[in-house]
Amino acid sequence: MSGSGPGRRAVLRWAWRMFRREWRQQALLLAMVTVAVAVAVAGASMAVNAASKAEDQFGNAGGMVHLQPRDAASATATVAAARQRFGTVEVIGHSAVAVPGSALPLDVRAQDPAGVFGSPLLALRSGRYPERAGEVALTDGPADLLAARVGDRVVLGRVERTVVGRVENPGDLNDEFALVPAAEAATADSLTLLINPDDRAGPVADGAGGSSGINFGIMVAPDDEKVVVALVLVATTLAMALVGLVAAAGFVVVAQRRQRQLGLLAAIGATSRHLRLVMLANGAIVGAVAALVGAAIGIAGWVVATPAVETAAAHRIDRLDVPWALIAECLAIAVLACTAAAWWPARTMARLPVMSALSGRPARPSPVHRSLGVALVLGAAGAGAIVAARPTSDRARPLVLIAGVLAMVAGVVFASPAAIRVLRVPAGRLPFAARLALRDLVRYQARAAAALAAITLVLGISVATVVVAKAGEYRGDEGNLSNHQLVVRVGDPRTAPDPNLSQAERARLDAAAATVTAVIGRATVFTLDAAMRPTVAGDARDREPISVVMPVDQGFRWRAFPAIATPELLRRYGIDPATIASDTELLTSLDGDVMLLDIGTRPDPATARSLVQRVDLPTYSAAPNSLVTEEAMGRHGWVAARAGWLVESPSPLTKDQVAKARAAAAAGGLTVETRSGQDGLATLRTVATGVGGLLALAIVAMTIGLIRSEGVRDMRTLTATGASAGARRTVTAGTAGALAVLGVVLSTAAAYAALLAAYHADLSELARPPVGHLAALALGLPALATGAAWLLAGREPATFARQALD
Amino acid sequence: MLELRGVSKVYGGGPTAVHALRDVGLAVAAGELVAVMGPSGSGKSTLLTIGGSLEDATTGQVVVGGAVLQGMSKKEKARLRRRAIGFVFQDFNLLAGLTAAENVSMPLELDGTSARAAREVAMTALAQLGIEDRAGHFPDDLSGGERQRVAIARAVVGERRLVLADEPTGALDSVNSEAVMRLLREISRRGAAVVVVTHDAQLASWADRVVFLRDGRLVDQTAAPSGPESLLASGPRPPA
Repeated sequence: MSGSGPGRRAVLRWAWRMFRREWRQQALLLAMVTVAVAVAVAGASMAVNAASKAEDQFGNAGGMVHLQPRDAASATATVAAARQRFGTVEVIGHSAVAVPGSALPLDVRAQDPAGVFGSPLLALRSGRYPERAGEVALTDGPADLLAARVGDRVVLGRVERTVVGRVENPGDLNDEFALVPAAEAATADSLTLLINPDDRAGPVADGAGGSSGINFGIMVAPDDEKVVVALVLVATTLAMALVGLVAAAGFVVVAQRRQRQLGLLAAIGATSRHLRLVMLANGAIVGAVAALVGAAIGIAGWVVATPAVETAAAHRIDRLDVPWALIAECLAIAVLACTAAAWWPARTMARLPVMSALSGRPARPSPVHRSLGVALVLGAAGAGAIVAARPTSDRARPLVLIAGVLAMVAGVVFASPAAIRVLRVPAGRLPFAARLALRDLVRYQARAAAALAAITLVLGISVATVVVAKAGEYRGDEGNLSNHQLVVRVGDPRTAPDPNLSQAERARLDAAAATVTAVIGRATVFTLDAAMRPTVAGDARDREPISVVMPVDQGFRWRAFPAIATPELLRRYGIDPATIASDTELLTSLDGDVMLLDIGTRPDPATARSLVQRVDLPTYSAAPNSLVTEEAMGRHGWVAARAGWLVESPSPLTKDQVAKARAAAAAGGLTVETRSGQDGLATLRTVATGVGGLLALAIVAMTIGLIRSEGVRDMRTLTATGASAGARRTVTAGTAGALAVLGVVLSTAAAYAALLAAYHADLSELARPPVGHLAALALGLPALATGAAWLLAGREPATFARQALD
Repeated sequence: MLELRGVSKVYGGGPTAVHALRDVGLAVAAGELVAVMGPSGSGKSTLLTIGGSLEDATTGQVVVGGAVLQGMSKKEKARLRRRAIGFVFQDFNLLAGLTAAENVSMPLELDGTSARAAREVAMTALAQLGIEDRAGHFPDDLSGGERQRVAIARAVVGERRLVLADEPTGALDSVNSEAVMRLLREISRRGAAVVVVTHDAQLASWADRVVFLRDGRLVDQTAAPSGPESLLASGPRPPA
């Protein structure tokens, strides 16, 4: 409660009028919150719409069953059984046919465009849907591959058909297929049954057969949207909490500007609650205005970005499908964050003696020893929580990590007043202008500390991001490959190798690989063969290479595709076959409890194990870090399939060599993998440095502008006593530079304290500091802040007359 | 209406302590207009702020309308300022962003009066001061004299019994200064106790009584002077 109703309304009215009158003074604050809200709104729309929805995979169905019937009679019986169990069933047929020029078979899909469940999975882009036998509609991929337009005739699986339209799956734009009339599902290789599992499906969903005796493995439509919404809300709350901390600095300044008016309000009888309400209302108004403007900008941004999001998410998105409820929650968080940010200055103002407020005297700086103690306790607790969260391990605890980071952020906030107070020490030894600048910061400790906390927070995030991005960079022995290596693969990396290649086909691939190798020049080539379970020739459905996995909980975690331990590979890595135990199945350099997995045998994670021998193989993820022994191949009846070739050059590969290799590979139906440049991490470091520096500069500018506007009397006095423009410039530049230097020091210290806690298990990760980016922040920011302040200050005060009316 | 009994005020402590008031005793009755004069730093404004509950006396007792300020909570003092005490400052101190009428009605609204009723009372107060036609204007649109009249209207609105004016004419020309003093005189005649701090002996001649302060001590009190010139000619008398 804040006094009587009319009283509350009166101070709220005044707060609103003051906002309308002086909103320009809070323009930076408004802009910052507006941008944050716009990003949150656009981000929420993108996250929700980009996430794969159940409808994208299941259409209107609640579940789906995949079947591979032995023959047409079996298919008919299975569908009949499904109809008996589930009622309405929509049948979609699939037949894989080879297409010249493509390593992947084409899915010839028999589906009813008006199907009760599957209609959302089909959209006509041009022409019409196929209605009669001999007609087909193509998606973009096969249409381009076959160079087929509407009206052309194409041959698919020895059947000649007329192309009658261009179609797509709106739920998966990467889904390439040829659509044929639904009636052809009867002769398809495999079937997808779209169903709506209801109560009758309960036992069936568990795998029971029901009266038909047929087992249906039902995939139930997932509900990921709630998870996405929760993640967006958590991210928005954290982001707004950070924005709120920055905004608090701005509200401190606003409160100081209104100090005399608030004093007057108290003089005519306003209570402390009334005074607090004025500032809280201002915070809420700033939040609400920023929320409205930000929402408009965010939605506009969403509309503009929709095509790009569609491409990235690979499904059609309705521009008007905006998550209004989620956006409303984001806006409410923004208003709450701003109101909360205004609370501390509101409390400070309400506690200020009336005469101090009326005379415009700043509040007496409060003692810092207590806040410093709290800062140390919070910092230690935060570091401890980060250590306990084990963020760099496989078993990280995100909630503990968040708690630790928040504790450290709070620690920084409490440490800021003490850091500001430190400026008293050098101030006494400096020339008068610099001395005045530092002493003004100490004099206006509350606002300076809030600004310093905000600067530290922004820079701390930047420093931490830059350092983590550097730590995440591959070392010389990390990454997918060394910069001397490339791997030529057969077909697409996602394609399982074919163990049934003919001798001629294998020779053709070897020749194509030799072409690729030739463009590198002097290079050594090693053939990489994958271990496979034998499959029926021409059937790609069950092709799964043998993998190296680690048993976890109820399943396995994939680690690598092993190559077969050929004599040439063993020689390459200096492994003497005599040192390999006779029963060893896997040679590997991977750590942990790894084993070989043939997914077709469905082993029990609790008991499955392989006989593993550690050897000195590369640690790169794409180079052979694991080898299957001939012993294992024979014991399990696995067969070899040509997977690719490891090409090693005596010197680092040039961009030109890589480009030529890619071109040669593409011509031969092969793909090339080279060392990942991790350009994204370098970009991230630069962006973090730039954004952090700019935000910090903006906060410095806001604070300087406001501190100096408060000190305008001092400037008048300085000018009247003969101080030159240079002296006035020095005062302003000194204030900016001191804040920037303190911010850099405090943020780097805080960020490294958090990072040392995070990487405590392996501090060598931090042994390669991003010197360039850190130097840009440490030297560039103070220099920029000081320089800009010097250039912009120095103008003679416009008037020596009385102060303008507050 | 206002009584200060042995009031002292000390700012700071130790060797840097400043004694703003020393054992001051003063009583201002309802309907009386008292002018406080004295050199800079003599404690005039401190006397006013302590009498108006904006600051606490270090020692002594302050009584406003029979209520002793010592021991009152901040909330009770705020209520007293809303209902009994009106302030007029030298530099107008109107709330920017509120119209003249809203500035005047603010104490009433803070005290729980509805906005409509408060506005009616405010309009009456403005009319008594002859500026009802400026009611809808914001402070930036008013002249100095008009602003001070609005401030006086706010100080007297709602049957205030004690009006404390700190250099109310300091920022005004002589014509407006005379007008303001005439208004304060009129207010006191209506029954309010009015205390005016001023440097201007001519304006002090409007008062029923003039009090002199020097170095925080009340050094003299005069009856109503016959005119400012006679006051200047006689000078302050030593305390009895």
